[in-house]
Amino acid sequence: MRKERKFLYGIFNHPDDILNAAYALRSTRNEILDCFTPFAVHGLDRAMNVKRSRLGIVAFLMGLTGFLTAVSLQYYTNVFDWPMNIGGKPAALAVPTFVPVCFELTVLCTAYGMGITFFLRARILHGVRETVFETRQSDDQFIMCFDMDKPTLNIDEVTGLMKKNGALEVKQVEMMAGVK
Amino acid sequence: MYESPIREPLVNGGRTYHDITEDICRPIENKPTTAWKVGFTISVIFACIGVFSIARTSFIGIGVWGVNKTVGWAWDITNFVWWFGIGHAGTLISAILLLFRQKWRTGVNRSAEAMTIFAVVCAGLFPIFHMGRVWLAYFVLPLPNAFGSLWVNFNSPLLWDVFAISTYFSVSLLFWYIGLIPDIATVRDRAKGTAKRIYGIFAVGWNGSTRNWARYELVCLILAGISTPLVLSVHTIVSMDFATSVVPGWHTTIFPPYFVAGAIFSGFGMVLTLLLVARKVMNYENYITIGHIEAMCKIIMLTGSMVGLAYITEFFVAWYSGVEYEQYAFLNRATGPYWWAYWSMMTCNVIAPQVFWSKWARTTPWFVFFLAAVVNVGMWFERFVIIVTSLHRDYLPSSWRDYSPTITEIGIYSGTFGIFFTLYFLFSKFLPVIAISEVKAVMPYPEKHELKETVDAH
Repeated sequence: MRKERKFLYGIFNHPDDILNAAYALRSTRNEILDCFTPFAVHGLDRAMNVKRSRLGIVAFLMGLTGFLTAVSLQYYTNVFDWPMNIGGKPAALAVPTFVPVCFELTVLCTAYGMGITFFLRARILHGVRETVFETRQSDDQFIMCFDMDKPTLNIDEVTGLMKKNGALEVKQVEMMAGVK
Repeated sequence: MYESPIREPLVNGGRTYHDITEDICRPIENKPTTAWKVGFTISVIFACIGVFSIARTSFIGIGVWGVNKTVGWAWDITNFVWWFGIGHAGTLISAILLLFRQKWRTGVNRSAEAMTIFAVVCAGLFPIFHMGRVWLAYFVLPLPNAFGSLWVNFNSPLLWDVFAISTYFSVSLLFWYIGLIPDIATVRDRAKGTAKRIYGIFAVGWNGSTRNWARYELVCLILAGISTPLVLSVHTIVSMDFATSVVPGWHTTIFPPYFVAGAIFSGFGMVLTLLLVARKVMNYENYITIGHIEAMCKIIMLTGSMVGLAYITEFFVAWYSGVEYEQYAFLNRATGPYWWAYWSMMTCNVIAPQVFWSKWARTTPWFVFFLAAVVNVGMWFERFVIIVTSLHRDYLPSSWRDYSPTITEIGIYSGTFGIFFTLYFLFSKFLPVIAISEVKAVMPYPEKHELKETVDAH
């Protein structure tokens, strides 16, 4: 499945430079494959037209699952299977005392459901090869990467625009990578 | 990204991005220092004392503790609540301050979160081994009746505690780990050989892609959003272990907010104790600045005043309630056989933090270190006062008993210090103590030129 792909990438050393380059490239037909930065450069995702992540919806659904699990668990054990006799009161869903466990299980399922989905969706899992163009991309270099197999990519235009916006270097590389 | 004419910079010393990576990775990449080796050895010795004392308790039984029929909860639950409260500062820094966009948290959140996890590990040992027959500890889980016990009782705060503590521990661990991933990737990219492979496994292929950063930030925001009510709920539930009982001195509705404030208060005391040493020994003065210390001192002062208000309110309500048992419980706290514990608590928690009104006190590291220790002692006494003095003279004068700890109990308590610091020393050797990627995002850096286009509103 995984095969060698050709990439063109520019190296920047300032977050503003890569941000400007991304905006400059927006008006051209060249699509940025991805950018690799040592920290979250705010605005870069918008400049690249990255869609807002839907992990929030996942979190909500997982939370709902946790809540329903807690309600059914408490109802089944303390009301249905073995009704708790407290001073002869009728066995019913004792709402106030069931709240804490409902809350805790909601939080637990939200966190882990969303966390695991994040790992799957971001394709960061043990065993997945990391896409490291430059080892300093996690230190002080900001990488902007293009897919050279895309026919619409105008290499000269892209190189020129990146250089104009402060790219230190523009390189081409052939490698196996789990990008996008 | 974070520059303002009126705010002090969050990173001093004119560091560049590369300098930050170098500074924070240095302890991981270099051989351990003598100070580290000495500290680690002492911690391991104490941890061994703890393991021995816990083993003794498990083999012989709870009889090796000083608890008796009247004072059934004593050191163990005091220490449990104490360690557990300490944990709360980590979540406050990482979650609540993230929601409030307090950027100064980036310098201290990593080690504070580590402290949370290690403190919860220590805290959890006490209730588990107080069960006596610890091999039956799984009976607290909701297991079917056919398994040998009845279903657990969901009306009991002690069971809520099981859910609250395990959720709190798991979620804090996940939050900490997700926060660590980009920094482990930085360490991986610099390492060679076996270290690269090991860090590579834990970095799970992180590459700093913009798409992943966008997801990562959303995940952290949601985790912060759910951790905030979680941290408040957890200590609320711990306080309900006491508040839902009918013991005079425990049976009060003020407990939840009072316990949460106290937890944050003691947690910041411990954060300061650890960080003041770390910044000196590991040369992190540029990242954990006087500004950070001052901000934390202000939180200590605020929460200390809240705790003080709660003490006074409790006293007032005991008198105002007209219940003579309640009145006696509080009078006995202040003037009874454990008066020294009560007045230690009052001095350390209510009076001592008030010196932080002075800017000198907030910005002088050795003084802050001393006061943080005072706060930790004070909060230990608070739990001791609440638990032991409320129990030792109950409704029946014929069953009044005094309590003093045995060597085994002291051993377990010292052992938890050993376990805590062993874990902390390992953490400071093998993982980045400061969140590299987060500090880089808030550090002052020279604006090269104006952005050509402003970021359009989404």
